[in-house]
Amino acid sequence: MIKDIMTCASKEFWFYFQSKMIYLVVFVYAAISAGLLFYGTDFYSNTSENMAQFFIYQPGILATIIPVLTMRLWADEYKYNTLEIILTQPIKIAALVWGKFLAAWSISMIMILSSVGMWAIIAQMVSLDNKWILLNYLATFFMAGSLCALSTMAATFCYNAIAAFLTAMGLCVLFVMANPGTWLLKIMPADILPEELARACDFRWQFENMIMGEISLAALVYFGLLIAASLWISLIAVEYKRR
Amino acid sequence: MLVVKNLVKFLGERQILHNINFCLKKGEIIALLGPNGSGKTTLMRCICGFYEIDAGEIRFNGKTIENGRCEFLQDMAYVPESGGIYPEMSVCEYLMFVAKLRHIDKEKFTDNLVYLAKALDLESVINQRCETLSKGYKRRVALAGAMIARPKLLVLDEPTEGLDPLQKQHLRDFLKNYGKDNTVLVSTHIMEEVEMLAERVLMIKNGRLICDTTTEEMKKLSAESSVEDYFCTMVGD
Repeated sequence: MIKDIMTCASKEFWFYFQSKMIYLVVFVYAAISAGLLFYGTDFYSNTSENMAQFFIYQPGILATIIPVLTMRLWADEYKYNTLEIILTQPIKIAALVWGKFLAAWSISMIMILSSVGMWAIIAQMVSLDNKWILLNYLATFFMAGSLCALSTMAATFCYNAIAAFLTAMGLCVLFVMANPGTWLLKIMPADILPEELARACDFRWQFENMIMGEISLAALVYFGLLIAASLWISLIAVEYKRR
Repeated sequence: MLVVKNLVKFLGERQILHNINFCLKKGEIIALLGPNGSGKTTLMRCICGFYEIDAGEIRFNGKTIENGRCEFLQDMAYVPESGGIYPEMSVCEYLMFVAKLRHIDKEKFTDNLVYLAKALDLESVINQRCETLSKGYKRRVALAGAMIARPKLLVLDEPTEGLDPLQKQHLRDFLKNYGKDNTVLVSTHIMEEVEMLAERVLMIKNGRLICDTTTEEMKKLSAESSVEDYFCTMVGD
């Protein structure tokens, strides 16, 4: 199973580099991240030692960019009629779903790592807590993983790349922007629903806690569950197509 | 080798296959005939595990897909009508990718690659990207992908579609040779191909198996001693 996952993942991974679009996507990501950091925040007057001004915008940026990475994952299988080929190979369908997800996640990590240059430049100007920043990058990888899984899931339901992009972006933005915990707190009394529990449902709250130095087990479980649930739904969607 | 028992398949509300029963033996080349929309492709997709079946059983070498998808599909390969190859890959990369999915070791892959490149005349395009190939080459690359693991059951949906007469002849000879030790199920509309290639014919109409016979028998039963005449008689209203 692991070997099949790696075969599928490496195929998808190299497909990204066959297309020139990946370079444009990385450039756009780096440009937006740098632009928001240097001109969208009080960076020059109040630089935080953990580059929080940079990481705080990452959910929003990644929610709009990651769907570009995942939109072709399933749509191309329909476009080139390769779904029949891949689904008649002696591999588990889960291996195919995981392979596609891992390829997208790896590319998103490479994209995020393109911002390391900014870290180096800022480190020349001010004193930074490098260990903290490293942990923030790890938190961003986890968060990106959950967005990749959500986007991959959305892509399995769509037959063309544009529909996959729009559906995935809508879903990712909804997850990042909507705060279900806040809504739950408004409608349910605090003695029934503890605030901590309600907040734990919030995507941004979990991520912001992590970048503030609280990489808790609860946050890792939250993002891990989001990945697992999304991939499970993807698997069901692919199985459904076989009916 | 392959036993299909009471196979039923619905697509949405519509029943496509109605209680299909047949079995295929080793060393047979079988033609699957039927008018458009009769359920040939659906039947092939069910055999190769692309579609889940709604009732009945498909048993290949004693295994069913429910008992283990990977084991069931290990020794069979399918080439759809549309071909289906990754345009960004070179021919060699595509074949290597399929070989990896089929867990073939490097040595066996190299042997099979050399054999298939020669047999299917792919030597000149082996490093070329699939998107740059002509339709005829794409068909042959798809076939090479299916045959890279030398499957015991080869299921081909209109394999000669898009090939020139010489390539058709070449492919028929190749399949005839391959079918001596393996089983080949071919769907086609070309009656000349049926006569030249297959010894046995399965005929489907409206999702029902209406005929399981030999090409010789078809000729005998036809008024004009031809497979085409018998086919028209059987499927005609």
